[in-house]
Amino acid sequence: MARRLLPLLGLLLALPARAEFLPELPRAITRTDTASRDAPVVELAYDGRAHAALGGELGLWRWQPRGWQVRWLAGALIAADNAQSRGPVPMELGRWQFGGAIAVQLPGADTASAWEFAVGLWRQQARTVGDFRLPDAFKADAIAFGGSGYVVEFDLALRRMLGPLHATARVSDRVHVPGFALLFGQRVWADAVGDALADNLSHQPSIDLTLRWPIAPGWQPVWALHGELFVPLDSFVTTRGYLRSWLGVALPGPRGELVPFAVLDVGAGAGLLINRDELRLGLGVRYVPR
Amino acid sequence: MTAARAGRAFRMLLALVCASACTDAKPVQDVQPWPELDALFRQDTRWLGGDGAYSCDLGHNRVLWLFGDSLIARDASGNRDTAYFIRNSAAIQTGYDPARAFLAFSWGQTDGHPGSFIAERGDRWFWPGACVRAGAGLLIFGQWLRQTSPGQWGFTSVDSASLFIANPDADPGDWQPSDTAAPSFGSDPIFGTAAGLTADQLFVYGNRGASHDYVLARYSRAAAAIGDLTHPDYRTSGSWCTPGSSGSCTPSSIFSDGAPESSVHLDANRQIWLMFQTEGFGATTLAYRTASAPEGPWSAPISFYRPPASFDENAFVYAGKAHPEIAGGGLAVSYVPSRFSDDPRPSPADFYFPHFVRVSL
Repeated sequence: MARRLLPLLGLLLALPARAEFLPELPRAITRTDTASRDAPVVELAYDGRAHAALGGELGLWRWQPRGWQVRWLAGALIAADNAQSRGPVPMELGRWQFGGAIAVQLPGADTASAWEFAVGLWRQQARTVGDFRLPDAFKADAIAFGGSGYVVEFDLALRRMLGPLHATARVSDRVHVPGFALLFGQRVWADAVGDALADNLSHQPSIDLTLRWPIAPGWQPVWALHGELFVPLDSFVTTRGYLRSWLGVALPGPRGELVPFAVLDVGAGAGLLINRDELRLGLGVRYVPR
Repeated sequence: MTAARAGRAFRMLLALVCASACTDAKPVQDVQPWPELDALFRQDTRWLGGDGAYSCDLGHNRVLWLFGDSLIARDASGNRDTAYFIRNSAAIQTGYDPARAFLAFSWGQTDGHPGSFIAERGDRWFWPGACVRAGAGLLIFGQWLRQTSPGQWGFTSVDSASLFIANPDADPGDWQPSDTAAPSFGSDPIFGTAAGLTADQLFVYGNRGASHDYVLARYSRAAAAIGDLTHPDYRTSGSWCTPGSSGSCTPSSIFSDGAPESSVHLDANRQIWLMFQTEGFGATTLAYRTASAPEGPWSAPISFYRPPASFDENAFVYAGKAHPEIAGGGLAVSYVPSRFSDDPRPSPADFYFPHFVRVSL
């Protein structure tokens, strides 16, 4: 055992020469442009109901062996939504998630293009706030617990130029802990773990596409599309999903970037609204601190 | 090279997505709540709920229902807060179709107030399991338990129970349950979790250990009809053995990770055996297993319905089982919703009653 640990010890001792702690960027390919509801940004939106999110990712450590870039990051998100109220302040439903990831940027990339693969462990939960109770009628094929659970996220992102546009594509899957039991055919264990963790999903695959046009330093049109599926643990439960697209103008400044946007939501709602089918058009503003 | 590596990673990711997306085909055609059957159990002003909800056909238009822990009101006000708590109760359903049936509940008397239908024996109480009428007599299986520490989970099983009722056509108040003298294994395994009948045999399922590994005993139907359970065969390592014959004969697991309660019956149309249960622990779903013979091999459980109560993270939904003797269209499957005892919220009034769904297979 000691002989096996020696190389690891040597590696750890060698790290400080190549490692950098608390680097500025948590990922080589940012997720702040994504149209996902889980984007690590500060966001306010109104589409007949109010939505708010306060999220961020923090790079903790970067290691650069032979042209690779390995980043360790932590992130958290708190979001609030209204389910019924038309008021401007979201205060009926809450969602939050936190966790961390290791992101690996593949070597050989230039500043305009890059590949990045990340694996993360996240906890995500959805709750009603205060005494609010969802009035939605019971559906036997509904997803329980609003998509809560512990997830391992696999994420592959590509950034490159498309003519004058900065394009980012991302495919990812959040595999819920019970979903791993399913991978090995352990249905009974998957159900037991799902009950224990209040998790009714096996995984959440998603795709992202973002186009940014750096037409001027002070304003840059951005369009993003995010599609996500919620694949349930139980075969009798309906798989749900949503598409979200927004079009905005990024206004970079010394303290960050402000992005007013128009947004279209189609499909499952957020958190405990996961079983609602919605088609909503809204306006919002997003802030990404620098 | 970078692109090739990225391509491999992308394919691996896709494979992972596809693998975890492969779920069972929809096994059940339709599941609908059965409020008429729910209502049948809410009509007695004194019987305020009970779990277990095992049932069997007594013939002559009568169905026996057996409940575990039950609440009996002190008076017609139906107040659960002041109700008596008893360890088991029973009911006779007259009429197979819930739309026209009625229920008459039974419990015992202890010191002038409601007591368990099957009386306690010292510090031991009886929780019912399967019941079966194999002939003139009635067999009621279950287990004897006792409290070993305070709290909801501070009980332990002591022994299997198998009781014989010689006059099941009489009013339950006139029944005189007698022990069958079936072989005992103490608390492990406990027999009586479920039972199934064929033309000439009675199959009694039990379970053992925390993972509820299922075991199986087999009796001659003719002997079971007169309450003689002294000569079982046990399923062990894929074959049957008879105690007392050459070599050891003890039951071994026919499958692991079963449910503590279940039902077994033959679907005559499809000629398959069905075992209904809840799946998981806590916010459970209803599920079933299938087999071509009572001894298996049994399939893995296939979940088909999440009860409304199981959308609550702190739910404790259990006691899933089917009731093939109930008419009215579809297969009646029941469960009992409740919450874990550390939940400070007041329980909804319909918790702790059996709830039913109508299953179309």
